[in-house]
Amino acid sequence: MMDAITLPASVDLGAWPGVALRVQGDGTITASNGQLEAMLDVSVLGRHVEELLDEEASRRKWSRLTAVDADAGPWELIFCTGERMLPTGRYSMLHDVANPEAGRWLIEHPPAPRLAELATQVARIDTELSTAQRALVIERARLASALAEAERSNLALDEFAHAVSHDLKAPVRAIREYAELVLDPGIASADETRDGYLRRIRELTGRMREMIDAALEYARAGRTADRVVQFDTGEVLRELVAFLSPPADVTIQLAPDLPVIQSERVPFEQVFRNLLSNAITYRREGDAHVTVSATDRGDNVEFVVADNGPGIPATQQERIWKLFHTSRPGEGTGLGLALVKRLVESRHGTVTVQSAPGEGAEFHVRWPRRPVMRASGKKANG
Amino acid sequence: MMPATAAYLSALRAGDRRAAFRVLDDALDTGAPLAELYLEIVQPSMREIGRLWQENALTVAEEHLATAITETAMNRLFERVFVWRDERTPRLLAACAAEERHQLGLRMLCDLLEMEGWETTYLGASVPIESLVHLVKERAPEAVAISATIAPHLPRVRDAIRAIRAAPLAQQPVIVVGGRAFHGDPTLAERIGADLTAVDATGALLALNERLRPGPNGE
Repeated sequence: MMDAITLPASVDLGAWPGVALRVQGDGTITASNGQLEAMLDVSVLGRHVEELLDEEASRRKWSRLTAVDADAGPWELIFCTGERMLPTGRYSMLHDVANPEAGRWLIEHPPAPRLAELATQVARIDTELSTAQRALVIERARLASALAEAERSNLALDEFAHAVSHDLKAPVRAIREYAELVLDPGIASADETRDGYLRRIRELTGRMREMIDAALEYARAGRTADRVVQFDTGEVLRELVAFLSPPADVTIQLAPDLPVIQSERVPFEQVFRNLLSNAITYRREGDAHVTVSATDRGDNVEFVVADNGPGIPATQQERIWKLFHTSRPGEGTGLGLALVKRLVESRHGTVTVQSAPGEGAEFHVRWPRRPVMRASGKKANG
Repeated sequence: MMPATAAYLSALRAGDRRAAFRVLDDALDTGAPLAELYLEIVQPSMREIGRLWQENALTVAEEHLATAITETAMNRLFERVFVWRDERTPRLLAACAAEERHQLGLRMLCDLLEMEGWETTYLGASVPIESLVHLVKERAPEAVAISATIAPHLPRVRDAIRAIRAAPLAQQPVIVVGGRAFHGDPTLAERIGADLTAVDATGALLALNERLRPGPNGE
């Protein structure tokens, strides 16, 4: 045990600039210099020190303090009542030499209000800084996301402009050539020949209009936002199959456990309408099977649209996603898969294809269960 | 105690910011999710700091420093993992009942909710009741979280809840209370007018998600 700290007999605790309490062995307060009463606005005589301490932390400390017969100190204690709480004070237990039987003195080290106030201010500033810093983190993430989005749309715009200008040039060139032929008296002498060229020009302009419409639809697909609703994907897909009314030689099988998700319903429908109608168009004639299944991937659902059609050669698998790409020129605009990719990616999903010639194709669509973030992934470490 | 927790605690005891940050950075690099870092490294370390104070092995000043380091450390972690979402719902307004130093639990709750797509506004300590009510009216959050560490702050929590309940709102928010002052008395939260309570940030997270953000399959 440490040497007891003793209180000289001559000390007048009435003038002590901090709390002074005489405490019995059981913790009962039998004398006070009036400071604690004044600060807490309650009477303390006859009460137990524990009753006046801040919750369990100080109380546990108090029991340690008494248990170890502690003269080691000082001890930090927080006095409080139901209404008031004092700042942390530093206390020591002193033996009263003059009157050892009357208990010991619990003496507060003279408080330094100015220092305490500064400490409180520092703590408050720390907290405010931290709160502000957190708000800043969120704001910065928002800006980063907006920037990434702007960069993405710039890139998409470039690609789009390139695709449109490149692919629209072909029919324009053809129209020009037919027009030259029509104007050349040496070639388009016969009326039926000229009419044939004009009909070709009319077809090409019709085709161009389709391409322009497709380009517009493609452009809109990434930008427009539909209302988010909760829907049963199985139900939506059943309705789609009914709507597509596949030919008799096509069996479309939907897995029984397709999930309910919260999402934009219209783009979801567009994606699967295109995938299913592709599977129908590019089918194994006479015996076509298409299945749609779903697997839980945490925040995403992975849908797989699998068919037993002719498959896609590896060399084509990159190209199929490009706007105006089609393996059967003249049939459709080549919008389908480009639109699928744009719809899926603008909703923060992914779409990939697995296929080999003669072995059918599997389109894997990861679609978020709930609307999610714009910015991608974690920040780079370090 | 996990080695990372022990390392974090010793960094806090030494007042060594860099070492503390490094422990959390390393843990994050191994792929540990934020909730795990908060609940298995930060929270037990801060509890241990509190216990050391009880044992007179630390002063309040050292405890303050540990809190300040931890607040900054949490901001750093949050910055590394937070990803902006355009759709941030539901919304939660969070405030401490009074001048609370021990508000890290509420911060953790806000951060973890943000990670799950909530929009949280963390008001910090000592928000006057009128300002809180004003913000509730202005922002119409679906939930309000109030924390209190010590019993003397409970009357303020009660008054804040009454003021929110009395405010002319189109829809009353779900009020969740928490903090040490509520531990050990399971009916206290209900008695002072709150809808929900939980013993820690994860408990509150689950309760709030269950109440305001049922999963698409009703989970």
